[in-house]
Amino acid sequence: MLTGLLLAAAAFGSALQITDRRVLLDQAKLLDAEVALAKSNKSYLYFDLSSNRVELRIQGVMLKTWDVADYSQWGRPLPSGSFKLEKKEALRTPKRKNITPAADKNKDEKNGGVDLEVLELKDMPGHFNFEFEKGITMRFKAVPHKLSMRLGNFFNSLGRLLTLPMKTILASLRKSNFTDIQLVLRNEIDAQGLYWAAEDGMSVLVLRK
Amino acid sequence: MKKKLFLAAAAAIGLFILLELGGLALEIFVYSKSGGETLAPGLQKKTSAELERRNKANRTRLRECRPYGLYVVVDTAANRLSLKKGEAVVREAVISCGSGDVLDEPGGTRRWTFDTPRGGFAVQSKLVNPTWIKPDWAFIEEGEKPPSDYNSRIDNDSLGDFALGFGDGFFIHGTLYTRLLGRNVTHGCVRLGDKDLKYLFESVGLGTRIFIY
Repeated sequence: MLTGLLLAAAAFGSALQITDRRVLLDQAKLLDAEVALAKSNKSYLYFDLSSNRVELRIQGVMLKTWDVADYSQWGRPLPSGSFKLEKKEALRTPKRKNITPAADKNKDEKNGGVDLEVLELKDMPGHFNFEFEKGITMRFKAVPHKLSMRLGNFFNSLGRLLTLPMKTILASLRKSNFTDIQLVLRNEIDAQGLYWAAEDGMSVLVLRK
Repeated sequence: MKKKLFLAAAAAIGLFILLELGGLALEIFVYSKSGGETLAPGLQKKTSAELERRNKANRTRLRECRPYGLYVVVDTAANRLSLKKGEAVVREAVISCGSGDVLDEPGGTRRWTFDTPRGGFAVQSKLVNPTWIKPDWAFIEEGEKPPSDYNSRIDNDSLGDFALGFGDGFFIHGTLYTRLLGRNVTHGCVRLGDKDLKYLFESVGLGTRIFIY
């Protein structure tokens, strides 16, 4: 009985040591990458999946935080580390307005701010993907507050349920990497804010759960 | 009829469970075949104590990258400017940032995108009663030909009482159009109301860091 208890305690202790070492290695990898990034004038995103938080940082300073309400993952687990955001994609990407000389002359400034044809936060999509190298995709959406959003999310989840097993099989057959992560943000404004802040080619640090 | 409906529902639920279980089994299979992640060999060989020391040193390096004293944060999405010291917000202001509009030179090759630049900058100049030397786009946008005469480009009224330059012709300055503060309407500069601009101008010195996102 006592031997059994001692063995169990030893096994538990060993498991804790392995976890501690994994955390230390993750931290070492991320700190190495962040120190290099912090020397530049470019901002970077920090996905702290262990705390369900996304942060925008620059030179070690946290500029903005978004809370993650829900998180799910398919395919090969995402390791902690540094990644490059290759492309942000959305079904409805915001379009820039082309100014027609003279026709728009001071229009924005004379009309009292009504019907300004400019690109603002409200024009950003609340549902979008980040495509990374090595077959990694992060999908973002917001907690639905309207019926239309709930319906959209339902069909989106249904689509994922049907397509993700296929994609996993295909990736296994091709021996390529496939990781699909879905992050649900607290509200649509948060999601739009993250889309606004992210830029193609941006560096992203990920601390896994 | 009821029996058919019941059978269809049962088949749908069965299919759903099958897909879920299949997906789960696949995930476990792929995970077991993934062979683990790759780590820099230098890190893998280090002991836990060495890793702890290394992490502590890197945290110190990271702290040293952060600004000492006051710094400015510009949120171009919310059109808000914050003057901060450490984590504390010293002052917040409503601003106007770039419209994101595009202007093509008629019959020419030049194109301008009116975005406020993003990233890390520093205050490079501090001007009182600044004069705006209107660039070509300011004339083209109004359907006019850019003048060759320098004096025709001088505008003493548009930038307000003060301006803080942060490089490449971009400034934090005042505005005549205060009702548009809070909207994205500028050609890339950051516009501020008179009182906030005065406070900012008096608070920051040359070299103060500006973070724009």
